[in-house]
Amino acid sequence: MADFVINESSVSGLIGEYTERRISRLEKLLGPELYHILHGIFTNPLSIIGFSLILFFFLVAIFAPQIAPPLEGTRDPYKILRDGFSPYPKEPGELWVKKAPELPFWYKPLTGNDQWVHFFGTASGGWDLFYGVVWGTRTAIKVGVIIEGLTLFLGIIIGSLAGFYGGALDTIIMRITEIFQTFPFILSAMTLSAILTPILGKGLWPATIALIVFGWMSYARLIRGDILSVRERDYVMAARVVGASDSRIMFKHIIPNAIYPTLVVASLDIGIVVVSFAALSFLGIGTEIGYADWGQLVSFARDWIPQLSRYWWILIYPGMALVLFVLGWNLVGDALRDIMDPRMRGRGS
Amino acid sequence: MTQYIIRRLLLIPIILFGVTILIFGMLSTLDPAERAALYVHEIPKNAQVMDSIIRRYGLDDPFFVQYWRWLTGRKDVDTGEITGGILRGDFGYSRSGNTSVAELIKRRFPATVELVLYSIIPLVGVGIWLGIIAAVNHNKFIDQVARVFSILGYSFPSFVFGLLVLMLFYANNGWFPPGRVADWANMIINSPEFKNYTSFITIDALLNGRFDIFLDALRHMVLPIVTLSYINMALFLRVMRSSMLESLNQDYVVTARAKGVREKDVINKHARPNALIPVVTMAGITIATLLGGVTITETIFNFPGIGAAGASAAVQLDVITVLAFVLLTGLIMLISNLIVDIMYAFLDPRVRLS
Repeated sequence: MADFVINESSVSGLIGEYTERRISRLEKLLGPELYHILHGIFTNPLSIIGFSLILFFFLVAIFAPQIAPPLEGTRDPYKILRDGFSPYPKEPGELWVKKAPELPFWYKPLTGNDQWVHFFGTASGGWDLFYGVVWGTRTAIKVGVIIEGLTLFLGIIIGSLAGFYGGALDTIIMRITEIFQTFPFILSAMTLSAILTPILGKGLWPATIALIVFGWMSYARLIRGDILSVRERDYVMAARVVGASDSRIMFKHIIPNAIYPTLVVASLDIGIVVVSFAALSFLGIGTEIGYADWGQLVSFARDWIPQLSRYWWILIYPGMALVLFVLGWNLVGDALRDIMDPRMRGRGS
Repeated sequence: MTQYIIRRLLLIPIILFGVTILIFGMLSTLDPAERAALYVHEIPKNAQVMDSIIRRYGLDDPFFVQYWRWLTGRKDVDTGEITGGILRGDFGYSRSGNTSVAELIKRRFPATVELVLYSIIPLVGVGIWLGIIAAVNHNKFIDQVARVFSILGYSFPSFVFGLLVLMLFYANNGWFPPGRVADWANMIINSPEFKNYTSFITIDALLNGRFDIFLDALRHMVLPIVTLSYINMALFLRVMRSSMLESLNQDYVVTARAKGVREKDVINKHARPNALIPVVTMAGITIATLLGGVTITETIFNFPGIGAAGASAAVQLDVITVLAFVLLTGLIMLISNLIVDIMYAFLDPRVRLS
């Protein structure tokens, strides 16, 4: 016992330190955990850049009809506008010849020109890249949010069932998770889209469903782990003692307290989801030719590989949109992982 | 330890069963006429002939009957000849590859393995090197640069990066062309004088004493290797950095410093070996993932590996071929995961001695 003397001064020092720390109103509102995370994100220059990029793309998506107006009376604005059917790409800045859309209000004051040009040039076949990139932003965000949301939903349901009920059900579910994890992601998603395409027709859905089916496993594992630890807490026991039903305990007590890390990880995976979807449509699986989708725009560059130094714009503009979009999510994600990594805590981050 | 390995081994059949059921489930969604390619090489256009094939191979049978036949093949009552059966290595006929799936795998897989093995060297090497530099200079300028460099690589979709390097190093100047070898080299390789020992072109070229072909094959692999390394490096850098940071704070490193060991030796002899453990296991898994995931890189560089074949099969909706590839790479994944886990147990003294 002798070597276990409590050093009084150190204890009082600790207490003093604690009471001295000022807790801002914001921290009170958000709680210490969320405050710590948000504070970390908004003081890290890299993640601020990331947030700005994401914000920029959201603005482009929201104002797509104003930035790149579709043809009047069109039924499907996601269909990229084309200027004739010439097999040769047009340079950025070339005048729009056939069936130009109406000029947006900002165009004349900003450029001093009253004819619509191909800002980013065209691909072969007259597809306007500017229109494609702008409306492709909408596709990217739409696809990212839908796929990520549904994947997360599936993962949470499966993981919660395993974590909450435990026992044999847990074992079975975890084996199924392992089985799905054995499948190579892109190759399997490609296969499933190939199977679904004749059934559902070309469009967003085959690739979307395929990416969800082979993407839920990591979330299921994550939430299961957190539920396993939350399940043993006193307040869950208390709820059980007063006779709360299984579903009430699950949805009111366990999931709200366990879901947080999974949500954070999932929201930042949107970048990865968008790339996977773009990869599939780059290969020609998914949307129809001419659908405003970044992966497909990049695939236009494949026809010109030996002449890419001449027709660079077909690759650079849609490619840049994709890279910057993903970069935005990854910059925030990288900062967040450091903040949430307990080994990195308290090292002045 | 032994118990752990035995438990892992026992799980393998269960997982394999699940994987094959799922794959066969996906196959079952196909039209019976399409599934005939599992057993018959020439798909007849005639509907009546097709009906007799469907009856003959029982393509309308209940799920598990068909599943069993898919695994073991169908024995003809009259001739005793067995057709199909993935356990016998017969995956059916590939419409997109114009040959049997097994032959397609035999022809295409060595190229993928060769590419992946060459890529893993710079990928792991540079990743570890940058990770150590970043950790040693924690939160300094170099750390930030290494970090941004790796995040940027991580953010590049492989098809964008691949096309970008093709634009810079092929379209401009023709330095590093796509494909596997040049036409002249291909003619020599397919000629009878050139002996095929391993199907790895670089090794075969050296064994045949054709240094020019060796160089040509390397030249064709440069861009895919750069692409695969750069976009996958971020993970290694990150893991190496954080594991090195942890290792640098361990008591034995502090002790070494206190004894007055030179900083270089502290890093190389005391901190690094233990920090490498998670990276070694990750390298194993990365090889397996790459073997199943170089689809897009191979497609862009027109590299005739299994990934490019899988992509073109999927585009042509040739599900039988892609599913065979999925099964193959899934199997590789499963085995390498097992090896990695066992290796991890051996490498980590805390696990080994428990």
